[in-house]
Amino acid sequence: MPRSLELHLQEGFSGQAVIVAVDAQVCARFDARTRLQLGLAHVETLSVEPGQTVTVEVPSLGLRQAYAVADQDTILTANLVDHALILRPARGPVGYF
Amino acid sequence: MPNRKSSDSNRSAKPGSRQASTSIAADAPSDSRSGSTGDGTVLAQATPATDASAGAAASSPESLSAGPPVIGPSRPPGLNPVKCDPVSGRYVYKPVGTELLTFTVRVDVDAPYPQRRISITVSRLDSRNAAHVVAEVTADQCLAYNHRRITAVVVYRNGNPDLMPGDQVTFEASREKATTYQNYALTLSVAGAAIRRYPLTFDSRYFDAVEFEVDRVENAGEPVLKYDTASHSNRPADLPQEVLSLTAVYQRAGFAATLSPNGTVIPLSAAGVNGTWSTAELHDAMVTYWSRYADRPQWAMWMLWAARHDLGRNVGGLMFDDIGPNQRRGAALFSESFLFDPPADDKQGAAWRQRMMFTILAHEIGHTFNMAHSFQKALGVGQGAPGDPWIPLENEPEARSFMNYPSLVAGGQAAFFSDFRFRFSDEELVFMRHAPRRFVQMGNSKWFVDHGFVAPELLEDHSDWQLEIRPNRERNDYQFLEPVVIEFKLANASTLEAAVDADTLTDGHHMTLFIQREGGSTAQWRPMVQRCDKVESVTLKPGEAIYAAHLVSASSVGWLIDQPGFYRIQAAAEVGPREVVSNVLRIYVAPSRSDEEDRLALDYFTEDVGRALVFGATPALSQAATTLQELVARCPSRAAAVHAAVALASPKLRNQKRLEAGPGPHDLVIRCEKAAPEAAAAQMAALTNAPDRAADTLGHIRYFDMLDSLASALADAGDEKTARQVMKRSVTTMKARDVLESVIRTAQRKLDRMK
Repeated sequence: MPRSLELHLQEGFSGQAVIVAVDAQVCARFDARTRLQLGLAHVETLSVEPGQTVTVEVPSLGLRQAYAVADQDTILTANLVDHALILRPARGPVGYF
Repeated sequence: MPNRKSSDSNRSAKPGSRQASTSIAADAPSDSRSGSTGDGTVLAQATPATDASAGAAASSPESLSAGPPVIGPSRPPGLNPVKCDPVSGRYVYKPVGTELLTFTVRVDVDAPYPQRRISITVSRLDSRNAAHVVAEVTADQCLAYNHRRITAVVVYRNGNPDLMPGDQVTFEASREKATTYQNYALTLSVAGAAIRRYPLTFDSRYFDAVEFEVDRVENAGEPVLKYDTASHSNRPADLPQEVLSLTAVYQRAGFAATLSPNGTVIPLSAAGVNGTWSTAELHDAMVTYWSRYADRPQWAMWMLWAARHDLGRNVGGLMFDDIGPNQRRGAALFSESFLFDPPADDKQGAAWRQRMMFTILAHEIGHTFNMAHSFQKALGVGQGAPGDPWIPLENEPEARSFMNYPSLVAGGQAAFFSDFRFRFSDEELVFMRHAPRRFVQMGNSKWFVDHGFVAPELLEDHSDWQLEIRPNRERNDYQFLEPVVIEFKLANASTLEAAVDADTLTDGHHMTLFIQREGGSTAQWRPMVQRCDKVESVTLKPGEAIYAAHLVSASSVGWLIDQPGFYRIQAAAEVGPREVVSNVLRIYVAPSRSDEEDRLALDYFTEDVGRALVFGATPALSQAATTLQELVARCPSRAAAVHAAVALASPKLRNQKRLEAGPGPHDLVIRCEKAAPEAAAAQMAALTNAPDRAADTLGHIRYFDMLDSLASALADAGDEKTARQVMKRSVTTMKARDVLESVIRTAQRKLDRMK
């Protein structure tokens, strides 16, 4: 049964185009720029099922990462750190201020 | 949308409302120094020097324990028999006689959380020159009861180094028979030798004054402006118990912080139909409800206590004002965020929530002081951030600071609050207190640029002068490709005569100008040339003005007006130590009218063409000259063709020198090119065939200057007759266009001399 998964693009984005796909099906395209006062660039809500693969791609940087959705996942964070794209599930709610 | 409230109307309309007026009274900063230190024993002058700031630093937390902050005490009892009174605060040096330098000195040795710094802002009254230095204290001595001397080494410079020579500064406080210091002085030294000494006047125990206005949305609950530090048991064991106010937090950071009495309740309708807040709605609300809203820097900010952001409960607070030339003026807290939900196992949930709200409130205000998150301090351009730190900084991921995320430290929020003392880190305090003030002041430097963590510069309103920018044409409409020429008028708006640097509007140093394409980003215009002229003042009577014109479409960093659309332009002029801000000029650039213009645009909006339009199409700019020739040939009726024609002709009106490569690999040869007779005819045609069109697009100042130069060139070449024709046409056109009488007289005198 599909449920929602929040994809939080957080630190390191400076206006790059981002493509998000679920099981190779592109479901979102947007430009992401981190607002430094929040540490947050963009929140995209995806409809997924456990076991599906979420892929985040930043074509201009040649970066692409995939993550297999687990049962308990409700938030997936994406950060650009040291020229790497890091996807990591959050264990609880993620706040910004 | 309701009108923006005014300070007066709000004061009178809301007596007894939830304002923090009572807390203002309780927390109002005071510049009084009475009772600020211990009762030392008077000793003889021969008492050995003792380190004063060591005692001050050790004792300062005690001074934080109750109510409003107290500077000092400066001496641990029993250790130092010399009474060394506190000196932290702001001092000024006002020039006397013909002197032109002004100083503001911030001494930080015994304020709460002393940072052992002396920072100095210097400016010259007659020019744009300004400098800022920060010096680190190396010695702080009580030489006797009546004399305290603090020596510091310069560790940071910004601005003109000539204004603040020396590598060491010495601050001295002394007295004769009084109980507090009366005499203050600053000495600059090079290699230990004193070179200049300035007497100072005490101005304030705080480094700057700042006002917070807190408005709340009707559904957001009461703002938490105070917190009882003992209300939650998870705290440092030795944390003083007190009811800590928001203003006290910032007073301890060195600011005379006050709450505005104009806080108000905002209807939920301001958030739009969805009842949550977007950045645009927050900005609109700030414009509408903040009693001190202004498009200029101020030591003031607006805080909105709202319920929920558009992004939902994830967002606990936001400094939302990060677009446009004036940023960091507004922030918001969202009381329904999950960030304020206490942990399920916390039995003091209400206190936990109050503490988190108070902490994030101070945190968001910290962003308006241009402070980054503790874990982002080192971010700079290289990491994709919009600016670099003001000095190289290290991240402080474990800092127990308002600017950190409690949940991100090792051990999470519980570990954070077990060791949190409701303060900013030392690094942040150095920035807030001692960085160049434009980096810190709200509405000044852009968010995260030179963060504590340069773009728009100091923009401070000053009513003695009035700066006006205008297109000098009936409608602010420009054709595609037409360079935008703006006229600047700086008028003495006071009731007294006043002197100003005659080159204020023209030398490229005093002016700052921003251009924003609506819906796009803001860019700073930088002149193609900056001149270092001998400073000459001109005295203006009340109402008199100086004028200048600049082509602002192109700048030394590229074209800023190169697309159709609406643009907003605003300028600031540095007059003495202050900045005078202009009106905002809104102009419209029409779309291209032909494929011909579209094709030309590709070659036209280049750096070389921009330079050719400003300086003339010299031989070195041959490609630009070709483009301008095409423009004149293909679009002769367009306004841009006038600019192109004069740019092509003007360099050839006089003999010119060219520096070229010589026969050898290291040879350079200066060649002289004679003036081209046909250039004068071309220039005359461009300027006088359709004088109104030419004057409209070039602007009066440039247009009549060009006619004047043309007449001079003709006269120098022996063609007096044509020169007279040009000047006659100039005078006729001036009269027809209602040019200032004094300008017409000058032109008439030149014409008369030709007869």
